[in-house]
Amino acid sequence: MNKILTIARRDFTETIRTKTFIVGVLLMPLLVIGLIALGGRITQRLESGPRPPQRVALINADDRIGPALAAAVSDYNQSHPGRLLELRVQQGEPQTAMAAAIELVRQRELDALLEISPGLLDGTLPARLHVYTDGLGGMQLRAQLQQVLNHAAMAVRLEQLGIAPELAAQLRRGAHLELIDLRGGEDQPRIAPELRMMVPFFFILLILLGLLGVNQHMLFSIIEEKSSRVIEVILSAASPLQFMAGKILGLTAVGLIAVGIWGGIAIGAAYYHGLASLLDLTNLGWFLLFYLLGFLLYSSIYAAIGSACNTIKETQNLVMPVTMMLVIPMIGWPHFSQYPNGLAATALSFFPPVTPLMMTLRLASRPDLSLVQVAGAALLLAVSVLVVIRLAAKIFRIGILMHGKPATARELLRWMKHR
Amino acid sequence: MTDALILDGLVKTYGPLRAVDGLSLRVPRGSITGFLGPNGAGKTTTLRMIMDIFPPDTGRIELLGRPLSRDGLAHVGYMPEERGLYPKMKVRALLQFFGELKGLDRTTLAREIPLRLEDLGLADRAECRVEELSRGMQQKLQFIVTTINDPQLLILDEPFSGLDPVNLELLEGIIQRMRVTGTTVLFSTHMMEHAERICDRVVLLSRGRKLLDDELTPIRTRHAQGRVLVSVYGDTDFIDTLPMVREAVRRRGHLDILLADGADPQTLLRALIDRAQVRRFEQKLPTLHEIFIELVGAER
Repeated sequence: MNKILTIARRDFTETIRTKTFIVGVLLMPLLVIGLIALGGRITQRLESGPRPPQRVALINADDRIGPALAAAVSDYNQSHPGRLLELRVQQGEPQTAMAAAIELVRQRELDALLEISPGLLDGTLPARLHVYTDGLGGMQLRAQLQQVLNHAAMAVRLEQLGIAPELAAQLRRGAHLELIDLRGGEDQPRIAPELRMMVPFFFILLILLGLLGVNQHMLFSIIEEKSSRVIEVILSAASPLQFMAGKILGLTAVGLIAVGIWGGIAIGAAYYHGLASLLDLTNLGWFLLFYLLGFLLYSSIYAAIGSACNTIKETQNLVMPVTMMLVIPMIGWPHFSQYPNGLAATALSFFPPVTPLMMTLRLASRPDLSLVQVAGAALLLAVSVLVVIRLAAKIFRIGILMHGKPATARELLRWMKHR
Repeated sequence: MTDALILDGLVKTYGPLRAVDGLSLRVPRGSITGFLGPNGAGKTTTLRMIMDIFPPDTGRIELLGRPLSRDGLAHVGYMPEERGLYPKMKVRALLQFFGELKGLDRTTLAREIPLRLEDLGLADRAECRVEELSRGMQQKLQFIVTTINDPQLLILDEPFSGLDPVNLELLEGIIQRMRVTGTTVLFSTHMMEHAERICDRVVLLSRGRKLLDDELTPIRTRHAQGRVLVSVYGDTDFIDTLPMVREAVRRRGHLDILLADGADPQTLLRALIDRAQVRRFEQKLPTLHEIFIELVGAER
């Protein structure tokens, strides 16, 4: 056990001192949060600030809508003083006027051209709305024009039907439906369900980053030990199993620190923004257990792969199918988080390679999950971890001293059968 | 006194290849034993089995009077042919790591590490990264790693390969010194001159099988049969016609004579005395290199 701890301690201290770890684990979350916050601030500032009026040429082939459109623009400008619209009616023969307007848009004298076809109001002819812009910034202008056009068309139709605008406003009033999650309690602030759905995603993202990020260190470390030929010196003092166990233990500690830091930052941010009620930490023990078991499972597999290859490039073919297993819960997250007790989610949570992420996802979506299911999945995963460690150790023992061409999947299977 | 190492009928196969084929040998305590053989003879495989890096298919290994175990290996120092250290680690931390891995406590290591570094002229490099050391310094550091636990049995796989003459002499001196302290040394090499200089015993391996296993002098005497060095005054042409001479090669000042099969050197001496004045007559002991070529060549 002392040898395992000695190896674990070396791997732990050497890993947390690497630039990859410091940048990847400590600085990256801060960088990401900083960028998100900065991006939000910049967008907010840009969105909230006043903009120059949008000058739009209008070619209107339907006289009925003209006054209503002018009124709608006026109303819009009053309610959006920073987003003014300026309609300029083009006079003259339509084709000539249109060509002239397009030329003005091209010369940036105007921002857009709106052409209203006859039939927009009664629907006998297809209503056509053209917005001409010569840049990528036309999206918002289109939305603005769509809004005023709708209002204008509605006003004309109401007048034609003899309906008072007040009555129309009453008819248009919607029936809102608020979703109340009883788990939140009466005194808890109401949180959008979309935001609540992000919680399981956050948990599995945390585990995924921990598993993939830290196990990359496992690959790097073993490949380095093979290429620097230090491996045989170590194996003269410790058995391959002790060596592998030490590495897994050391990197498990690294993984816990990484996830602890990321999780701590996220929880802190949730409290800071008054979203603490989003976090149900009653299952924290289960989360940790599934993370640890998942880490042991995947680090054993990664250790075996590392031992069988000589370069990081060689590991990629073997690592890819393993990574795909971890991606399954990420792909199905929107469905699984809404139906954590569905057949697919339940079945997949008993498939050991997927269990750590799937059970975390289910527990985060539904904290009162059946204890039998949770304990059963944990037990099955624990047994699988023991089997995988045993098989990985067999590969490790043979692969770690092999140089030359990397082992194929078939060779790995043969090594597993070795006594 | 018991043997430091006993191998009994070791077999190791890799697919169709029998890398080690029924190898048995004994390494007496306190001896320096050379483990010789051409490339692919099975030397490294045997040493790795002794170090329990992988198990033999069949056979028994007894280490320091007990069946091979990890506990027993705590008293063994092993320097593999493929040497390596953690390039990014600092020298002191590296020795601390390997020392702890070999079961030494921190107090002992705090005392021993400076002494060992001092001994091999690396005292001022304790806080350097391994990658900052020259190749020669790294080899010295590797040797400290190997011997930090004061092993009773020191196993060195090709210890002289890649060493410059200064470091080579240094290492030879250290190995000789270890004999004085009672350490048993087993080292593999295919450089015969080193084995000849420092070994008490020699084991020669070829294709996984043992061809020789004895002390150096009896081996050389045994293989001296039929080789005689002769120097006589006057004409030497008559020597070629003597029935007991198969071949006579003239060197500067003497002749190397290879006797016919079964011929007695005494008969040659008598024949020479009858015909000329003999100035020098001695049985020529073959070098280890010559014995190696003779035996391994015959195998092939």
